[in-house]
Amino acid sequence: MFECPSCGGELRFDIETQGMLCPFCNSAYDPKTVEKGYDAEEQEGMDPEMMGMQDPDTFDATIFTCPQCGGEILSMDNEATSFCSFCGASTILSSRLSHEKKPDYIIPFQVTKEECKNAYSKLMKGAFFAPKELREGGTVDKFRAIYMPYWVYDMRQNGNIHLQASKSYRSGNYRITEDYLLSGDVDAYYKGISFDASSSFADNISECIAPYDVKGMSQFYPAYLAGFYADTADVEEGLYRADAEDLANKATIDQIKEEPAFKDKTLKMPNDEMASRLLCTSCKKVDRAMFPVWFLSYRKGDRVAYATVNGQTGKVASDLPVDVKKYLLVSLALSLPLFLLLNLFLTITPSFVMLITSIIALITMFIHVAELKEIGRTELQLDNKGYLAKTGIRKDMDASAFGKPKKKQTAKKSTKALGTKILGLYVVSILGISFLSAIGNVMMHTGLYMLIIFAVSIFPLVRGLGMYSKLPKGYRKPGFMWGFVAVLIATMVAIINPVADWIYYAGAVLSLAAVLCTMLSIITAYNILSTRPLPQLNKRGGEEHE
Amino acid sequence: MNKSMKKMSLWLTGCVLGLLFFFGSTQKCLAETVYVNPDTGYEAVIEDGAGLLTTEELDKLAIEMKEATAYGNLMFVSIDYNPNYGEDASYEYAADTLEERYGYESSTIFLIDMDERMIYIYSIGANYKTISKARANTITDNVYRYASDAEYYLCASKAIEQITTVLSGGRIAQPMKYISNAFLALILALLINFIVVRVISKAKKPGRDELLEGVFAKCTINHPKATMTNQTRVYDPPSSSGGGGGGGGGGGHSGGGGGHSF
Repeated sequence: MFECPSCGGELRFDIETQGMLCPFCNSAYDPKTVEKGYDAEEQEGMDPEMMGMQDPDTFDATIFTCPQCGGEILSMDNEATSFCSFCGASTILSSRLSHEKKPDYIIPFQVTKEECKNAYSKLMKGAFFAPKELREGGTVDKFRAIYMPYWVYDMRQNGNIHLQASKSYRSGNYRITEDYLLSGDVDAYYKGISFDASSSFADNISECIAPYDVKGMSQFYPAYLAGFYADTADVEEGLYRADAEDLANKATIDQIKEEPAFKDKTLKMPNDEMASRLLCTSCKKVDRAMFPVWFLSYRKGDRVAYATVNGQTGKVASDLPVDVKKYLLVSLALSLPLFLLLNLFLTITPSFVMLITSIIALITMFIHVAELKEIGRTELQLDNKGYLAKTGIRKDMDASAFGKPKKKQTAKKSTKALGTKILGLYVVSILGISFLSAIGNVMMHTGLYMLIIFAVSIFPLVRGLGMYSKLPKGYRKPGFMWGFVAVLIATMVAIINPVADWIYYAGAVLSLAAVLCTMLSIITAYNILSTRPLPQLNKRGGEEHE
Repeated sequence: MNKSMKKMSLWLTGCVLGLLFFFGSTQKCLAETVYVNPDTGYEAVIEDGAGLLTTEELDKLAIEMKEATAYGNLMFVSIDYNPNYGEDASYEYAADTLEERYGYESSTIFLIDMDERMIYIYSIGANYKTISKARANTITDNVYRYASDAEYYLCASKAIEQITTVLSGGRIAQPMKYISNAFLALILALLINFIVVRVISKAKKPGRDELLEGVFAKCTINHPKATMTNQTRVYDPPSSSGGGGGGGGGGGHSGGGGGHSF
């Protein structure tokens, strides 16, 4: 503990004053000058010869270990802690003293618990579908201030660059294409590109609360940790080096494109490996740092949901499961204005209702199959590079059906990928509609449309069945099969082409019921995706910061 | 020419004239104008080619058709042979019959097509603005059960009644519309709500520019130079087919309808 030189009380880092404060005599000190003292209990566990011979690159801390998940969390004192932030278990964590490697830098907490709670409450106000337990005010008191380890990369680009580009234009009756070699001397640095260095801090959480402003970093002093918890780095610094290079390369390429001498030319984009070579990219230094995170875990059964608040900027990211009852009630409420709206301009025949129900059933099949794939990837942590590097791919699941581990991507790239998918879907839809319309002019029969929909539904069915058996038993929801049943019923009715409307309505009711089952499976799958399996860790670690 | 030849030619001429008289009188009997509205000049026509209605029923139907002539011509046609093929056969027959007789004058036809087992309502002109495709579908959906039960007079009578009600600005029952829209609203609500859930629950990841805002960054390109290494010229004259000027919009004629199998 850090003793108050005036009264001997325990000093804590005060977020508001950014200094060490004694809660007993209100004395304030600079965190850079305060030295850690040892109470009797701590001294008992230490080698007397080692006391006073502290390695300047390490500091002493208490490591608390969760008996349930193995998660470890670090603290500067040894007061018992009563719950684990990683698996949400309410249990007394075992403790031991440890010499920990000192980080180079730290961004001290700047967001107070009150500000954190307000930011979280604001998010929750908009999260109408979240379960009551998450929206209730009582939950926010469980926010815990934890310093998360980060690798901070210093990327440099110095040298002569040569890149290919082209320019096309028209001159009279000719289309002219010119190839160019762009050259110049690049002098660039990107110091402070950061990636979380803890296997148990999921990449998708750390990505969502990013960025941290590294201009606010200070040199690390253990006193900054007084009153907080911290996690330790267990991921190699090389793991994210390529990602840091990628970010630096893309930023420089953006700059090259804006250069007046190059602006009218189209750059031939090099691949990632080539880009580093062409732009003379190198990593000058990698530093250890600790960044502040307010962390909340919400446990339900064998699943856990996390809410995190960036301790520097106040940016919030939370897993938001959906309350199924609320979803159904809101859907029902939404259907009323939709019904009134449809009545204003739409009169459709019963066969057309079945056709639309089938199209929606088909869409839900695709959504559910996509979610099953995402569940597989989440369970296997295929998108969590840090976790995979530490634990490897689970052996009890066949990963082949769920794709390969993904390379870390910035949001811009993801948005582009999503954009491409939407564009692709749009083009396919337009072609499909044009095709159907063309055929429709020759043979306007609902049965034909239904047969096409049925044929298309085979794809998600086969894909879904391929993944279904490879998922853990608890996650096998047959939603896509229900969607197929809906399409099948509608196709059969359309082919029989009965005269009586009630047969179509009966078909539509059965299809609707099947679609409802698919939607419920989709929501259940979504809830699995918006929560996480209980972590099984082998490490982790202060005291409650109020 | 001998006597027997003369007899033969007279006999043949008589037969031809007899046939002509027979078919002529039959045709007249099939397409009968049963009423001409003195105020509007629109007429009510019955052409029971399939012989579905008795004389008494035809008379009753003629009276029921009168009111609708205040808004346009009204035809009731039944056929047991349709020369058209395909899904549109009834539509084509109804459209051709109505347009042949009245051009684009405000008119409506109610067709019972025994060949295609289909009832169809088709309107053109001012009537089409009121009896749209959706309304025609609603009316045929309301009355198709009578046709299924071989109650053709009831089917025609109810259809004419609902056509008249709609033309005079009244309301008709639309169970098909409400039931169908209820299904559609429910299923769309489930899907739209899910999209809303996904959108409002999705955490936003920062873009590249946002990530770089938080780092110490500098990028300078000194001595930038673009050297042309190759040039290709492809002969590609601009397309000579100029776009034609937009034609003036003419007054369009619209028509359409809807039907139901029975």
